[in-house]
Order: sequence, then structure tokens, then C-alpha cells
Amino acid sequence: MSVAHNVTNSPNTIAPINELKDVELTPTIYPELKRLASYHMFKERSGHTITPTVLVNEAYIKLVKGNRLKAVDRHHFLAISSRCMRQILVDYSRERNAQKRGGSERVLTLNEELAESDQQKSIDVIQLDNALKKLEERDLVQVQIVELRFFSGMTNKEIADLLGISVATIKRKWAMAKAWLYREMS
Amino acid sequence: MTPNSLDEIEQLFEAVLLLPKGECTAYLKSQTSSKEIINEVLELLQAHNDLGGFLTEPLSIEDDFILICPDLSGRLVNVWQVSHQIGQGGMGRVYLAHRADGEYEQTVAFKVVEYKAFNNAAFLKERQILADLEHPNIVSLLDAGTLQEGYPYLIMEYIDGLSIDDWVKQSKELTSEERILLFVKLCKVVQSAHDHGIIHCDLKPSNIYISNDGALKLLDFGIAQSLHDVNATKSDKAESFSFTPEYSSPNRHQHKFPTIQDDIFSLGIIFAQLLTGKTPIMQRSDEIAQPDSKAIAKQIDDIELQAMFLAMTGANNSATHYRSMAELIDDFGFYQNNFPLKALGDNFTYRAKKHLQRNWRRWLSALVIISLLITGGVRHWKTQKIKKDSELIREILSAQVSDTDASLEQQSGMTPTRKKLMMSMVQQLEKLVKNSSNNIQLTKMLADTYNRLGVVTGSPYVLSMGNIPESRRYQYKALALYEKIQRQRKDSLAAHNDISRVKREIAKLYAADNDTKRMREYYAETLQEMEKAYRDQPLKKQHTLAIVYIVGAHGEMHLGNLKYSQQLLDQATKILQALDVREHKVNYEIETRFIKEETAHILLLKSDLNAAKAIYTALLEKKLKNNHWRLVRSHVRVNTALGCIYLQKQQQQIALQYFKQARKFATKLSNKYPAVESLSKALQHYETLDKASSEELSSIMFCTEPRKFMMPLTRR
Repeated sequence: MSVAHNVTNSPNTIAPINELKDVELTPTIYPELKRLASYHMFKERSGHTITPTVLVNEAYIKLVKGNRLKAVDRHHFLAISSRCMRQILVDYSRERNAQKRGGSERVLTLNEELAESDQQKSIDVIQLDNALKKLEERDLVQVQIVELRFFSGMTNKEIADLLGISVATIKRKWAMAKAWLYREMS
Repeated sequence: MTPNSLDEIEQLFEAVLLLPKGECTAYLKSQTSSKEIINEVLELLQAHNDLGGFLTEPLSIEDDFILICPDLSGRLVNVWQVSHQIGQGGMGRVYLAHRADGEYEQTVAFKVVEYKAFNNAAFLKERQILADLEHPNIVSLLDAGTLQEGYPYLIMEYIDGLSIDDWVKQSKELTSEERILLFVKLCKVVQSAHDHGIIHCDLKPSNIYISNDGALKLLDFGIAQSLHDVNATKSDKAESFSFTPEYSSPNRHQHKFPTIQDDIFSLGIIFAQLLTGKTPIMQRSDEIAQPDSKAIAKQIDDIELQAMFLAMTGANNSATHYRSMAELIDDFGFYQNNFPLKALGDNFTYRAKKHLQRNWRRWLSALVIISLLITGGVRHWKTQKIKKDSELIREILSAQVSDTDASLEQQSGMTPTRKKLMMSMVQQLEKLVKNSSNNIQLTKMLADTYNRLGVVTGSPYVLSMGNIPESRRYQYKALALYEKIQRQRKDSLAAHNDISRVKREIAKLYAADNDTKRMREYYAETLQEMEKAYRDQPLKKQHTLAIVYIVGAHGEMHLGNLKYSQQLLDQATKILQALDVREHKVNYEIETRFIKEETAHILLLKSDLNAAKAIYTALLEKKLKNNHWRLVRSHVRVNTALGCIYLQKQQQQIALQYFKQARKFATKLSNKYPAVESLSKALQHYETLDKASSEELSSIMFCTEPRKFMMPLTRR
């Protein structure tokens, strides 16, 4: 992709995640992603799958190409977007759990859809998020790979390009991260 | 662990992934001496083997990303400035918002729909229905639109108050009657929504508010469905609806299409909660717990309220299950007036008990009469056998109805009950008449009952509900039935009388509506009817016709048609003169007297004071031969009229003598009938008589509005 050649920062010098948290881009990208996500949910309802990758790409086109964000290289943008996607999904899970518990003592209308999808889903996003926070202390790159693969749906090749690491390394770190997270979560 | 050891673990982990299972430990031992690292790698290897599909597929939004709209606090949407979140419901969150365009101050509830299976078409329709409904107890929809994120939103009237359960909790002193009244009020709101084809589908205390100024407000027609839609699709399965387990019927728990009875069920649970102050008892059958109607019923002490609760939730049997809000509201009316409830079905002992509770006085006197009959006059009873059985039954029934009605009329506040009684009589009789349409006796009973129902619904001169158009409908029904009888029995005098009576009633109803034209039409028809009936009778048998003339004359006088009024009086006089005096002793005296009195009234209204005075004086010269209350009352009127005439002639002393005379007769009457309130009330007018000035006298005695003391001639 041509954008990839405009990279100004070396991929290896990508900012550490803790710093990314406070990056000024997040306040712009996060709501845009969320908006896009819900927009798609309304437009294309049942049977339609929308991947995070599509959302991230759309957000990129809209924000960067639409000149609402200046001088952001694509890699940087994708890294922040993945982090945002993780945050969005964690926020969502928290809110859903709060809803399920009923929040206060007030009786809430039960949404059947919530109950159903809850049973099918085996991954507890909040638990995963907590495990990822622990993993951050061991290996930041592994965390980034998980975000990019699981929360943003990118392929190993794309991630390798993005982070400037070989595909072999990505594979190794991905396998390692999965095993570590699995042990941590079970 | 050091970063170096972490790197080492990673390297070793990658290596063992490629090795056969049995060789891993040996390989690791050959690479490192750290037991810690070996254990870590082996654990990770175990996890790797166990993890299956863990994290393999990227998170798909379709599966997991159910709508959560970003927090709207602080956002400006159209003209609405969103403030902060104030609640969360099944379909989404609710914010407080203000109108921001400076047009006017307005605080509103801003509701965002966050619901995946959201049906936009149904939503648009619902918006329209809500806008059309404009019910003061249903929160109004002010605006609606779509956020840039794609979420629809609703702007609703903001209710500052408490939910009904909190409100009841807060007002601790509420009696159970007050709780019931509050609930009935709620029922009526739901009923009017049902009448518009809207089912609420999610009734619960948190959707029912009492605003700070005390108004009941129903909110969140969140998933309301059009009734017509249900009929159109006939689908057994609802697509997917939100519901609140605590207040939802078994039908809703099975995801069946919502019906009116689902709302009634929810109301039942709310009803129990309002009465007992306890949240619903739940029972767990499968994953989602359901309200346990039978356990909840046990918390309600009053047997009848308990039965009504069960009839709302349909827990006992389908025969008593309420099918509409009207049935439910009716039962509350019956409950309040001690009539048998539909909820308790056809239990004879129960119904008899209710009857006794209502009419214990009448039953007591009936018992006395029966015991007298048994001891004294069994022979008399046997003579009744002569009558045909059916005729006898009809008479007993009619007597029963008119007795019951008459006794109810004596008690204050029984008018609605009387109406209900007549209404249910009409319904029963309609069924009977349908099956045997040629039975004149039944038809007559039905007509009589319609006539009675009409009177209690809105007859202007008696105790009634005051609903004139509805009353007129019943009278027209009665009229049609009487006319049918008349066609079958052409020469029946009774039929003419009935028709005349109903038409007179209809005329009165039009008079109350100030529709003078129609009033006179009907009165004219009444006259025709009577004239037709009595045309071929000898004059001396036309007594009833004479009364009709007198009544008509009185009505015309009140309308100011003095000339026509006098003509009618002349007709009546002609008949009365032909009457056999010995046969009609009292009535003759009364009616001839009234004709004279009426003539004098007409003269007074025409301001022919001297002519009027002559007749009035002549009337007083005749000594009263009996003390019939109508004659005594006539004396009150005549003395008052004479007083007014002298007052106008500036002879106050003489006027006062007549007024005192009027007071004497009025007091006499009131002493004789102490229970009649209107008589004792009338006495109050005379209290200040002795000290009053000329102007005061004139106003006390209604001299300026003489029609007011010229009392109606009609007897209740």
C-alpha cells in the first residue's frame, strides 16, 4: 500500500503502549471507530459480519485522507486504532455486565438478545483485558500483536509490516502470547 | 524474571513446539539448568496444547458488539442540549436534556434506542400513534430523530416525580381504598391506549410515575405494538422483544406475540405490589425466573381482591380470566359497590351473600312479611295461583327490578350501581329476546329496562349520571321496542302510554340540551300518541290525556310560549269537566286546581297582575279538603305569588303576610316529610323574612324570577 511508504518513524521505534494511551490522537480515533461500528450495526443488521479491520480502514480513510488528522503515518494510526478497538470492546463488555447485573435494585427490561449471545460467547473480554495488562509487564510486543490480531483482525503479514518484525517472529510471539494468556485466564 | 530469561523462555518455547511430546523435558534440561525456566516452558506448552480455538479468530463485531451508543452527555443534538444520564431501560439509555435554541425553557427526557433487533418501521409507526394519542396521563413525544451514529432517539416530556411503587412507599398512610383508586386510574389509562390499538408490553412500576404535582404518567411505550398488526400477521412467535421478567406473563416468557392479556397480567403483578408493598415473588422454571402468581396471591388477604388478582394473571382458570380492561375495571366497580365479581364466577352462595350485603334492609323486611304470610294468610297466597305461571314470574321479576332500583335510589351515591344493574339486565334480556323475539312480555321487559337505564343514565330532573346523549340512545332503543309491541297489539292502550312516556322522556332530554325544536317535535308526538290512543274513548276516560296536556302546558310556560300553554290548559279543562267527580275525588281537585294555578301563573308572567291576583285569591278562599302534599305545595306557591304581586304594588305589609303564610305551609310540609331534604332546605329561605327590606324580600322569594317558585308539576 502506497501509504506505507510515507512512514516517517522507523517501525522499530513505535511508541510504547503506555505512552500511546495518552497520545492525542486517541480522543479523535476512539469515537470515530465507535461511531462507525454502531453505524454499521444499524445499517447492516442480521447475518452481516463487520470486521474490526474494515472499521479501522474506514476510520483511516475518513480521518487521515479526509485531512481531519494531519501527518499521521499509517502504522501509527493502526496501532492506536487497535488499542482503541480493544478499549471499545472492553467498555462494551463492562457496560453489558452492568446491565445484566441490573446496575441498581431497579428492575430492568431484559433484552433477550443479550442473554442469548452471552451464552455463545466463550471469551470474557474483561478477563482478557486484565490478562493483557499483566502481559504488558513481560512483553509489550506480544500485547500489540494480540491487539492487532484479535481486536483488529490483521494478518501476520500485515502485522509484520506494521511492526517491522519478521513473520516468523510474529508467529512465535503470537503462539507464546496465546499460551501465556490461556494459562493466565484458566 | 529478567528480560533475558523471558527471551530464553520464548526461544525454548518455540523450539519445543516442533519436538515430539516425549522429548521435550530432556531437550529443555540439555538447554538450561534453571528449573524455573523449564517449568515455565512446560506449563506454556501444556497451555498451548489445551487452548483449542482460543483467540484464533479475530473478535467479530457481529457476534459481540451489541450497540452501545457513546455517552451523549454534553452533546448538542438538533435543538437539544444533552445534560447527563438519568436512567437506563430495555431499549437504551435516557438522558436529561434542555431546549437550547432559546425558543423557550424546556426540560426533556432524551432517550437513545440501543437495541440490535430494532425495527425501524414499527418504531416510526409507534411515534405516530404516540403523537396521535395525546393522553394527559401518557408522556407525550416532543421530537424524534437519528443521531449521526445511527441510533434513533426520542424526546419525551420529562416527568419530575416518583415511580408508583416509590410513591406508594413514600405516602405510607394510604388506605387500601386509595391504593385501589390509584390502580383503577392506571387501568383507565391503559384501557384508552388499548382502545387506540396499542399494547404497552412492558408495564412495570418504573414505567409508571406520579409527578410532583400529583399526576399519574405512563412512560416508555418502548415496545408497544399495534393491535391491528397482531391481527394482520397472526404470527404466533414474536420476532424478538424486550421484556421484564418480574412483570411478564408466561405468554411473554415464551416469546409469543403480545396481547391485551399480557398487559393485564403485568397490571396484576403491579396491583399486588401496590397492595402488599412487596416486590413480586419469583419462581425459577428454566433460565429466566417467572413471577409466581399463586404465591403472590397468598399475600393478598382480601378474598375478592385476591380473586381479581388471579383473574388478571389468569392463574386459576380461563373462565374468569379477564379478556379486556373493561372487564377488569367493571369488576372494580362491582367490588366497590358490593356486587358479585366476575372474577369469582358463578358461585351461587357467594352471589347470594353479596346480594344480602347490598340489600340487608330489604331482606329484613322481606323476612318479616314472609313470616306474617306464613302465620296469617296462606289462603291469600293460593289465590295467586290463578295467574298463569309465566305471567307471574314476569311480574315478580319486574317488581324485583323496580324494587331494587327504587331502594337503591334512596341511598346516596348509588346511581352508578343502578346504572350497572340496568345495564346487566339489558344484556341478559337482549339474549333472551334474541331467542324468542315474538315474546311480547320479554320485549316489554327489555323496553322497560332500557327506559329505566336511560333515566338513570341522564334524565335531567332526577338522580342520574347526567350523560344526555347516552341516555337518549337508550330511550330510542326503548322507543323502538315499544313501537314493535304496538305493531303486534294495535289496540293496546298500554303501548300508547309507553310510547308517549318514552317520547316525553326524549323531549326532556332535548330540552336539557337546549334543542327546543326537537324537544317540541317529540312533545307534539307525545300528544299525538295520546290523542290517537284516547280519540275513541269517551271524554270521561281521557283523564291520562288531561295530565299530558297539563304537563305540556307547564313546559310551554317555562319556555315562554304562554299562548300555546293556555291552549293546552283549555284542552285539559274540557276533559276534566267531563269527568265523573265521584270517581276521581282527589285527583279532580288537584288537577282542576293546577289548571287554575297555571292560568294565573301565565297571567303573572304576562304582567297582568290584577287578573292573576283574582285567580290566586280565589284559590286560597277554597279550604283545603285534604292534606295531600301536592295541594299543600300549591298553597305555598300561590301565597308566594300573591306576596310578590303586593310587593310590586308597594304594599309590603300585605306582601309579608302572604310570605309568612307560605312559610307556614312550607313548615307544615317539612314537618310531615322530615326525610325530604329539598323541603327542609327550602325553609332556609324564609329565615330572614321578618327583618328583610322590600328588595331583600323580592330576592328571597324569587319575585324577580317567578318561574323559580312555579315548581314543576311533574311528580317523581
